[in-house]
Amino acid sequence: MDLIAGALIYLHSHQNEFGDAVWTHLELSGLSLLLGLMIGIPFAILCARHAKLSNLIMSLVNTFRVIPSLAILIIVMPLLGTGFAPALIALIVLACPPILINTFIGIKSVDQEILESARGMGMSARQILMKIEIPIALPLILSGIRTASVEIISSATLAAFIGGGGLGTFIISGLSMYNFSMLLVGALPVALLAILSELLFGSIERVFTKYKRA
Amino acid sequence: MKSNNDAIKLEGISKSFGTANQPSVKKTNLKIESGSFVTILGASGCGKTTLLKMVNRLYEPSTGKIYINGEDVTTISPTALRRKIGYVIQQTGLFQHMTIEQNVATVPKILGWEKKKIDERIDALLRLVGLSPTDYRKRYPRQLSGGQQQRVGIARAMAADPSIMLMDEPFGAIDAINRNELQDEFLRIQKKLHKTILFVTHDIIEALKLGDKVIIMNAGEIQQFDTPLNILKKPANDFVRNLVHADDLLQRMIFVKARDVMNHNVDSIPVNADAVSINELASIKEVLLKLLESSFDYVKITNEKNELVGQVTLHEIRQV
Ligand SMILES: Nc1ncnc2c1ncn2[C@@H]1O[C@H](COP(=O)(O)OP(=O)(O)OP(=O)(O)O)[C@@H](O)[C@H]1O
Ligand SMILES: [Mg+2]
Repeated sequence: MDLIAGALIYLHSHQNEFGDAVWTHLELSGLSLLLGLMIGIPFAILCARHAKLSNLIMSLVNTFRVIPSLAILIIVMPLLGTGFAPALIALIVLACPPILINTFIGIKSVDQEILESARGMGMSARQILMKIEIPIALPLILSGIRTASVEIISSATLAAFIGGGGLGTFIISGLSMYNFSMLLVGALPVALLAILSELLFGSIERVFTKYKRA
Repeated sequence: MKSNNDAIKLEGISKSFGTANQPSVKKTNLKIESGSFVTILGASGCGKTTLLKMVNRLYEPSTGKIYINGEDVTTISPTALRRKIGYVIQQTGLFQHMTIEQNVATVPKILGWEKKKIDERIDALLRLVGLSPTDYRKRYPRQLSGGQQQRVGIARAMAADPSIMLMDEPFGAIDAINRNELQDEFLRIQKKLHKTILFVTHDIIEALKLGDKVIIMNAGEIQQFDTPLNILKKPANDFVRNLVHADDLLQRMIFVKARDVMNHNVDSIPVNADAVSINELASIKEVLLKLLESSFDYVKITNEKNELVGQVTLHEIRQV
C-alpha cells in the first residue's frame, strides 16, 4: 500500500516529467511502428513476388528475431550514439520482423484459384494487390502489427538505457535508487499501454475477420 | 460462314511449356461461331485448360494467332480483353472476404458503372442463376453450398454482360443431382442470352448434353469438332468412337435430342390434339418411351413456349 501511495505522491510532484515521459514513450512507439509498417509491408510484398529475394530476406529477418531487444539497443549505441534517434532505429529493427513475416505469409496464403479468377476477370496487378491480396492477408498482417506493437511498447522502456527517454527513465532511476515507488510510476503505465494496444489491435483484427465467423 | 461471324478464331495455335518435350496443345485451327455453345471434352491433361487460357491470354500461345470478334487479341491489353470475356473456373475462385454482391460487382466496379446500375445488375443476375437476392446478397461465399457458389461464380462471370464466356469445368465439384439441375438451368439461361460459350468438361454426358458442338481433344490435339449427333453417328476416328461408346444404340439415344432428328415440316403432317407431346430438348430415348406408351405412331415436339415445332416417328428414331 505504501508503495502505491508513494508512487502517487511521486507522480503528483513530477507531473510534468511524467507527462513528457508518456509522450516520448508513445512517440517512440508510434513512430517506430509506423516506420516499421512502411518498411515491412512493401518488403513483404516484394518478397511475395520474388522467391529468391524472399529466401534471403526471410532468413535475415529470422536471424534478427532471435537477438534480444536489449542487445539490439546496445548494438546501435556504438554505431549511432545515444538519444531518441538511435532508440527509434533500434525499435524499428524490432518492429519489422513480425510485420514483414506475417504480411509475407498472409499474401502467400491467398488461394491460387482466387488469384487466377481475379486475373481472369481482368483485374490489374495493382487491383489484385489492393482488393484481393492485402484484404485476405489483413488478419495476419494485423496480428503481426499487434505483436510488433506490444514488443515495441515494452522495449521502448529499454530505450532509456541509451538515453532515448520514455517511461523507462523512471524504471532505471527507480532501480538505481532503490526507489520502488518511482519504479512503479514507470512500470505500471508501460504494462497498461501494452495491454491497451493488444486490446486495440485485437479488436481491429476481429472486425476484419468478420467474414470468417459469419 | 463468314469470318466476321466467328466470335473466337484460332489460327495455328500451339503451346509448349518451358521444359516439356511435348507441346500441351499442338497446332490447332478452330472457329467458334458467334452465339454457339461449344463444349471441350477430353481426358485429364489433354490440354483443355491450356487451350481455354490462351483465349483470354492467361497463357500466351507459342505459335499462332487468336482473334476475338475478328480482333487479334495481342492488340488488346490483357486486362481490357479479360473484362470483355466471362471466365469461370472449376473451384469457383470466389473471393471469400467479400460478400456475394461484392463478388458479383467486381468487374462492373472496375469498369466504373454507376452504383444503381450495379445494384440492379446484381439482383437480376442472382435471380437468373436461381438465388434470391434478398437471401444471398449479403452472405459470404462460405455460407453457401458448393452448388450455390458455382451459381455465384457464373453470375459473377456474366456481370458485365460479356458476349463470350470461358468456363473451365464449372460444374466439376458438384454432385450428380445438383449438376443435372445446374446444366438444365444453364441451358435455359443460354437460350435467353445467346452467348458464345467455350465450356470445358471431362464428363461425356455433360459435353453432349450442353454443346451445340463438341470439341474432342486428346494429347493436345482436336480429334473432332462437330455436333453431338455427328460425333455419335460419325466418329472421326477410333479415339472418338471409344470415347463415346458410339456403337451402343441405347447409349446414343440418351445424347441425341428430339430437336436434332425431328421432322420439321409441321404443316405437312396431320396433328391430333390427343397425341402426346414432349419438349424438343428431350432425349430420343424419352421420345421412344413416350411413343411406346402412346396409341399414336408419332410424338409431337414442342418448344419452350409450347408451340409445335415438329414430330418424331419411328422413322426418325431409326436415323439415330
Ligand atoms: N503452367 C504450366 N506449366 C507447365 N506445364 C503446364 C502448365 N499448365 C499445364 N501444363 C501441362 O500441359 C498439359 C495440359 O494441361 P491442361 O491443364 O491444359 O490439361 P487439362 O486438359 O485441362 O486437364 P484437366 O482435365 O486435368 O484439367 C499437362 O501435361 C500439364 O502438365
Ligand atoms: Mg483443366
